[in-house]
Parts: sequence; C-alpha cells; structure tokens
Amino acid sequence: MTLLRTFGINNINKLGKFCYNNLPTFRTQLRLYNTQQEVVVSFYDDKATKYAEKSIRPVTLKELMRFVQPSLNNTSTLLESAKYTRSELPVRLARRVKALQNLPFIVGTNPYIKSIYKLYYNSFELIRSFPENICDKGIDEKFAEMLKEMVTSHSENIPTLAKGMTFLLDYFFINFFKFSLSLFFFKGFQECKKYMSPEDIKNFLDDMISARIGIRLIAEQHIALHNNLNDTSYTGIIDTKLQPQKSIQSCSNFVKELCEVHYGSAPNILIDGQIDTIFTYVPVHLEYIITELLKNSCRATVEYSQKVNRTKHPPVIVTISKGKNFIGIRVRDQGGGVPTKDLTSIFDYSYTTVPQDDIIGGLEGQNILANVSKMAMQSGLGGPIAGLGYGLPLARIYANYFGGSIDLVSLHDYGCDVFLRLKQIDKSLEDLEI
Amino acid sequence: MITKLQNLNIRWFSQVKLNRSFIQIRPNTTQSTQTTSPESIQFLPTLSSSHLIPFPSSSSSSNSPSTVTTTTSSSSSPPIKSIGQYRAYSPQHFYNNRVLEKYAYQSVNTVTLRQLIVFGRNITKDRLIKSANYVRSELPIRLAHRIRDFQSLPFIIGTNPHIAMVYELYWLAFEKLRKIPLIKDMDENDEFCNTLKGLLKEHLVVIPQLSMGISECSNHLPPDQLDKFMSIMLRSRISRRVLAEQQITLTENWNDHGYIYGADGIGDNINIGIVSTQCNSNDIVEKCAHMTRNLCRVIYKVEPPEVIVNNQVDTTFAYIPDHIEYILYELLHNSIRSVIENHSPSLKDTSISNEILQQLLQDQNSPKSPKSLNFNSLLNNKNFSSSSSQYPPILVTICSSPTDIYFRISDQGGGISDDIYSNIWSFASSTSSNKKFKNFIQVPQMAATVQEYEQLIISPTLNLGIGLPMSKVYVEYWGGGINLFTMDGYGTDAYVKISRLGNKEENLE
Repeated sequence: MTLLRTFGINNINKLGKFCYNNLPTFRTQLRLYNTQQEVVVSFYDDKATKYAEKSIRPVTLKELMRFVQPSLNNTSTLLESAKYTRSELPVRLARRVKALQNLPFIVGTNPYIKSIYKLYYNSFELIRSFPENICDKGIDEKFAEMLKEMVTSHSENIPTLAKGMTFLLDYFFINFFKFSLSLFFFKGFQECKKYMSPEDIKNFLDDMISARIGIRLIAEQHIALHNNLNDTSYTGIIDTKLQPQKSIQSCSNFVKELCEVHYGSAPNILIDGQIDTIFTYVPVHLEYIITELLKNSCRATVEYSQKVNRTKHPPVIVTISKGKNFIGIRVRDQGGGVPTKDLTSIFDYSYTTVPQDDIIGGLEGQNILANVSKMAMQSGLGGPIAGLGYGLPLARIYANYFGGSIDLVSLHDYGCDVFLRLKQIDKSLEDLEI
Repeated sequence: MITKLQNLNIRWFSQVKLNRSFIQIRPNTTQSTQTTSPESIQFLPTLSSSHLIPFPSSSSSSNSPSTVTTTTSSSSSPPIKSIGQYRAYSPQHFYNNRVLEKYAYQSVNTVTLRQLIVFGRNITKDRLIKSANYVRSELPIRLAHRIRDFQSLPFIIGTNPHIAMVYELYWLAFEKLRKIPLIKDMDENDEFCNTLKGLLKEHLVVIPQLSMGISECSNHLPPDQLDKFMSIMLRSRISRRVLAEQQITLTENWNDHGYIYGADGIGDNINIGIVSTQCNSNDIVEKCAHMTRNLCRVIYKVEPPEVIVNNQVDTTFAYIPDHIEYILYELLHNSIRSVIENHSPSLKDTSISNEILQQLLQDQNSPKSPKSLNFNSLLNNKNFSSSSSQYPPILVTICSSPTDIYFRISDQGGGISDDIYSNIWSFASSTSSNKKFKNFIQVPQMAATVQEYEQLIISPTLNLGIGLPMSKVYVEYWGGGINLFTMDGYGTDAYVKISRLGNKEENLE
C-alpha cells in the first residue's frame, strides 16, 4: 500500500505497466533470496545464542523520530541512528533465531518454517558481519543499502510460488508480501498444528509478529532517513500529518477494484464522521488494517447479497472519530454478520470464513493468474496462501502494537460493526517503546 | 415538600460526610428523624414492627409459625427505624447461621421464561397453590445464598451502615419466609401474597443502599470483586422479585373474575402474569423513545433528536416487558441526552425539580399542545420522524436470528472519554467511586423499572450512574448480553442481545 500511495496507483490496469517497468528489481530480489537459501546453518555456530543473551534496548517512538528532525538533519544524527540500528537489530534478530531454534525439532524441519529460519539467520549474519563502527556517510550508505535488501527479502520470499507468475501477481507480491512473511508462518504452522498446541502456536506467532513489527520499524526508519527528507510531514516512516480519510479512500478504491475483479460488483464505500481528522501514525500499519477490514466487509456484503438475492449492495460505511487520546474508525457493513459459532474464533489464526479447498487448488494449477484476485479477496492480504485466516488476527496485532484495539460486533442476518481504535502516538511518544 | 426533603437529604448527607464514623452519626440521625417525622419517612427505610422483635432462638421458632404470619400481615403501619439502628453483626446471627446454612446448601431451582408461561397459561387453583409453595420454598434458599455472599465479604465491609442494613433486611426476610408453613388453600395463598407484597415494598431500599455501600467500600476490595458481588446480588434480587411478582399477579388475576385466564385460545392472553408472550420489538423501542424524548423535551426545552427505527424485522418474542423496557429506556435516554448535550453544551447543566417537571409534562401532554401532533405521528409512523430536530438522529437497528433478537442503538452524542468508558459497567468504579452514586442519597427507594421515571418517582434528570450496570444485570439475567462501543469525539453504539425463545434458564451465578 505504501507503493500504492507513492506511485499514485489505484487502478489495476496500470499495474502491468508499473510492474513491467520495475521487473528487473523483482528479479534481483528473487535471485537474492535464492542465493540466501544456500547458506548452511551449523550447530556449532553459537553467535546467535550469544547475541540473543544480550538485552534489547527498547527505543521510544520519540527517540526514533528525533533522528529525523529537519533541523537535526545532518550527518551526526544519521550516524547515531545507524549505530543504534547496527547494534540493536542483530540482538533482536538473534532472539527470533533462538525462538525458532526452540521449536520442536519436527516443526523446524518443515520447509516453510525452515526457510523462515534461514531467512532470519541470514539477516542476522548480514547485519552482524557489517562493520560495527559506522563512522562516515559512505559506510552508512552501504549499511542502508544492506538494510533495504534485508527488508525486501523479508517481504517477498516466495520463490517457489513466484515461478511463472505474471505482472499482476508480482504486484500483489510486492505490495502484500511486505507484510506477509507471516504467510510462511501460517502455512508452516498449519502443517505443524498436530505437533504443537494451539496456545503454543498462538503465543509463538504473536511474539514473532510483534517482534517483526519492531525490527521492521527500526530498519525502515533508518532506511527512510535516506529517502524522504524533503517530505515534511514524514519523519521516517511515521507520518505526523496522516489523514485517515485519505488513507481509507485509497484503500477503499483498491479494495473495490479487487472486489469487482473477483465478484463482478462491489459495494460503495462511504466515509463519514470527522473526516478532517489528522493524526500521527505509521501509515503502512493503518493501511494494512483498513484494507483488511474493508476487504472483509466488501466480501461479506457481496456474498450476503448473493445469498439473499439482494439486487443492490448496501454501502459499507466507514466513520472516523477523533477523541482525546484515540482515533476511532468504525467499519459498518450489512453483510449478514458472523455466525454465532464463529464469533469466538474470528481473531484466531488458522481460521477463515472461506472454504479452503478451491483456493488451495488454484494455487497449484496453471490458472494462478485468474485466481489472484480471488485469493487476495478471500484470504488475508497476502493472497496466495488462502484459507488460513490471518487477516483479522494480524490486523489486530498491528492495532495493538501501539496500544490500540479492534473489536467486532455482529448483528445476525444484518451485518458487522468493527471498531478500530488507534492511539494518537504523538500524545504518548515517551511511553511507546519499540 | 420535595425541596424540603432534598434539603433534609443534603443535611443528612453532610453529616455522614463530617462524621465518617458510623457510631458517631447515630444520635444525629435519630434526632433529625424525630424533628421532621413525616417527610423523613420517604428517605429512611421503612420496616415493620415485627423487625424490632429479636430473633427467637431456632428451637422455639419452628413451633410458632402462625404467630409469624399474623405479625407480617399487620405490617401496613411501619414505624421507622433509622439506618443507624441496624446492627451489622448481631451475636445471634453467628449461632443462628446453622439454620441459614441448611438453606444455603440447597441448590436453586431455576426457571425459564417458557416454564413461567406454560405454567401460567393453564392456571388452576391447584397449580396456583403449587406455585405458591414453590415460591415459598425457593425464596428462602435464594436469600440464604446471598446472605452467605454477604458473610463472605471482608468484615470491614459488613460494618458499612448501608451494607449492614441490607444484610439485616435479608436476614429478616429470610426468617420471615422460611417460617411460612405449607400453603394449602387460596386464603393462605392470598395471605402469602400479601406477605410477599410487603417484602417487595420493604426491599425497595436495597438498590440505593447497596449502591452507596459498594461505592463506599471501594477501598476495601478490588472493584472487580465488588462488581461481581453486586451483580450477583442484583441478579438474584431480580429473580426473587420475578418469582414473587409472578405469584402475586397470577393470584390477583385469578381473584379478578373479569379476567379471562387460561382460556382455550392461546392467543387470547398476551400477558401471563408479568410475562408477555407478545413483546413487539418495534413497539417497545417506540414506547421507550417516546417516553425519553418526551422527558428530554421538557428538561432541555428543545426538540430532542429523532429516533429512527431501521427494523430489519418486526418481531415478537416472550419476555418480561419491564426488563427490556428498562434496558432500552436507559440506552435511549443516554443517547438522547448525550446528543443534546454534545450539540448544545449550554444545556448541560439542567437542574429541574420534579414538581416543575410534572407541571411541564402535563402541559406537554395536554391536547392543545402543538407538540401533541408529533406524538401521534410518533406512534403511527414507523420512522417516527415528523418535526425537524436540529440534532442528528438516533438510529435503532433491530434484527434477529432464530434464537436471538438484537438491538443496536447508534448515536452521534460525542462518545465517551476513555476514563469514563473503562468504568461504565462498574458499580464500584475506581476513578470516581465516591462521585458515582452520590445522587442515590436523593433516591431512597428504587425498583429499577421504567415506571419510576415515567411517574417521576425518580427524577429523570438525576444522574445515578446505575443505568448501564443495572441494564447489564437485567439482560444477563435471562441469558442475554449487552455491549457498548464508543468513538470518542463522535458517538456511541450500544448493542443488546436477548434470547427470543425464552428457553434460557435464569442466570444467577
């Protein structure tokens, strides 16, 4: 979605062209990933263990943003940020490596989990082996380059699935897999569910995903220092003048098109309430959550319309409110609600309201392109590995990360109200640690 | 008279504040009672003379059941006993507790709405007496369970005068009820119903007293435990009142010869005792909306926001109308008030005495009032919107599943701020515990029904802070649910789910 905004793309037809122009980059990234897979992880290599024992130094949002103050925009802050990033990331990555190492052995042998393990290990190695003393701008440039590679590799590692995929698919990958290393986790743990208790899986995933949000925030914040220095409302990846109305608008255009591609029609998405609200937040997080919620609502609305032979889709209404400490966003649909028996599990992993077989089948077959929109529509943002239902739980982790919440209320045979509450992070910069 | 009463209350309350010690205030309270006797009856608890008789020891009590019933029937002229005279821990109780424990060990026989309906539909003399005996044996058990709850509280809480008073009341009711002998004929049933009526009336002080007691005890027990205690207390209280009122109403209907009861056609009798088999979701919302808009129109002197019912279903269900009306009234009232106050902040401080309110309401309802036209349309028009209000409307959505009915009440009243929101369901809210129930000092008795607001027994302008937690107690009693989500700065959505089949057992724990 960041790309979506950056490039002003809100029309799927333009995607092909966009992707074509950018194709070399993707290829490089895929190659990058493939080479990483060759790395062998040795039992006697205890660097990760050593690093994991170090304590992490939580950084408050305020500190993170301070690096990017326009007035302080000079080499010294840049280097300060680089030093922090260089010393902090290996510790955090090592902890993730340890967490993966502590999984039951059989789980570690699962190809999906294994590839994630390698990815984390490689990232850890990559940063660890970088010179510790980042003393001038030149080294910092290289460091940032490397971080970028790491972040992208964490985003798009889908080599086997990527084979033979076309532009449209590439589009989904870049945009969605930014968030969707989780896909591998979900696929992996779906296959491993008989070896671990649901609580253990849930705890592991929750830890893993929120740790990943922290790692990405730190890395991307440093990368961002090299990018948008001319954009005043951005401090790194945090937007101090984020207009939820605009974010929702762009997400809703996207979701509507996705919905139209897949279902042939889409409900209107209306935005009301305090639409002039401006607040400070991480736009990618907001967009991820909003897209997920809108997708759920649109899907429910269209499918319920089909079920009850409704000719006209009632609109999905998104209401924005600005409270003292929280921004509220309510997504209200008339998609028939969630059946009572499913209500307790909608925020659990490995659950979806969509039947699994046809989507998984589509993945293996030749008509993968035709199924892309369907997959994206029906699963979480990642699309391809559908029937895993991680859209809402992931959205919830994102919302919770800065002290917000997501609540869902279902009215039977009528619709759902989803309440998203996001903390205005500028009001509590001191308390929020990453 | 009312202003005088309020003065008195304030004076009394200040005394309480000045003298935190319970023993110190006792002489003062009795003094004020003596000097202003007629008014003070209204806010001091009324108890019958029989309560002054010390408990007979358990051995002798069982031999004299008839004397007990005669004393209770004469309970119509109650002398007053001030709060100060209640003892928190009577020495008899400790050794009397064996009697209580015998009852407390028995488990409760819960009923469902459906059972109440089926039983009441084909009522006969035999059945009436049977149900009288069920109530007679069930009430002491339910009371005993709650008395045990009191006894499990920390000792310090038991010494709080409000809590102590309710404890004493429960003990007295328990003693009275358990001694009633088997009911064999209609005369005894009538007498039993009179006893029940007397008790119901006496126990009207329970909600205010408990609320004040709980909020005063917030230092001594974590709020969640106090809330749990309170909600079990109140749900059990509802359950006992339902049983008692059902028996009373069935008996009254039976005695009333004009009343067609137990007729062959099932559709003939919509009301079985206090249960209605044909509660109409739409009608109830409209009735509550009408009432609260009417009151708000008088209180704020503006045209209140419209209540637009977007009913997905127009459905009927079996319920106790008092319960669902209380819940919906409270929610609608909250919504309408917050919309008005949010959109015209100048109207926020509304102090209006009941007398003036009464007067205004009469004017409002008189046929020559220009607003009366609006009332008619209110009742006739589904989307009762006719005159234009300057406020955004309250949207009510009603929908249903095969087992449940859902109400959603959606307003744009500016929402609820975080600190208040975290305590909306709490009886013992932590942040403003002392403030929360302070207005109960003006409400000596409370049955928690809509009629109290309708008939201005309780001033609708008073903010008691008990509406939401009480609604939760009501809705959970028959196995439903209530939830409220707010968008601070914009508005609030309230959700109520109730079972439409009436097959849920009373939820007492």
